[in-house]
Amino acid sequence: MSVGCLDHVGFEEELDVARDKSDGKAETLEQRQARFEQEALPYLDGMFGAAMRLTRNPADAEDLLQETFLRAFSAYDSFEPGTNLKAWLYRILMNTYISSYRKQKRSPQTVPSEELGDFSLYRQIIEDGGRTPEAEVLDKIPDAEVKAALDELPEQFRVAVLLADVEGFSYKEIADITDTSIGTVMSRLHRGRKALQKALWEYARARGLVSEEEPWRTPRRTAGRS
Amino acid sequence: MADPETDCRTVLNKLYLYLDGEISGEEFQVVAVHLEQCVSCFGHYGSEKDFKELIHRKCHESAVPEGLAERIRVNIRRVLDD
Repeated sequence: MSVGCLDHVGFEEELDVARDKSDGKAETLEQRQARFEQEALPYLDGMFGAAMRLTRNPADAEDLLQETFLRAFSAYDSFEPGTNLKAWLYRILMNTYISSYRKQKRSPQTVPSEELGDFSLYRQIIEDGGRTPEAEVLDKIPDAEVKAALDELPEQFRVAVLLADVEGFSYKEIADITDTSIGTVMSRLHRGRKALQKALWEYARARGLVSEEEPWRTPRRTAGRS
Repeated sequence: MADPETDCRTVLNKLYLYLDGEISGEEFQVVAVHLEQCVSCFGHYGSEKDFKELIHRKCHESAVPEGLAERIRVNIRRVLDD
């Protein structure tokens, strides 16, 4: 047991939990609470970011997390120790968001695929393994603007990009969290990334971070069209 | 010797899988070797890799509101007491 846990869990209580686990007896609610605080609550840091990207404001993010952790706690005896706790918590986060939060908001947006240009195709090559010139351009966009662009994506795409690129989940984990297939995850992730790239390049162009005279900074498929 | 055109198409189709750590073993090796040899595909790879890293870096939320963890604990205890 780490010393850090003693901040919020009594030492005797911790010992009880440890004993309890070793002989397989049913734990008391207090013991479960202690175990929950010790095992699940540390994921709050990462989950706050996810809740922010889902709800798009801090007050709603906090409400969502309160409800998520309450639900997670009440279901904690059904969680199988040793399995993927982080993915389990994010799944509850997503379900809570969908069932109790999202219904108050606008309905999920969809984007016709033809509106999404292929913006991965920037031609400049990195010779020395350094960052691409386009990365240098996008890096100048303030964090808040990148977050805003992510927040503007249709929900299914936003969630896929959030879970894969911000939170670092595998396709299988994302499929489990969002209750869909790996194929669907791949498709949403692909479209989400393309849409986000498109949005950020539009921002960069609007702010004069790129000039139209530099052909390599214009997406290939749209270059020459007007 | 494989057809280089097919190679590029195959590799580009697997670029996200490669980038996201979703392929391994021989499948991974085929992409890795091709990227070493093909300047064009390596360019696509570099763009996508940089973009993924950029999103991770810029969208990561580090500032959890002060006291949120404690408020969650209190809330759970309140439910327990009911």
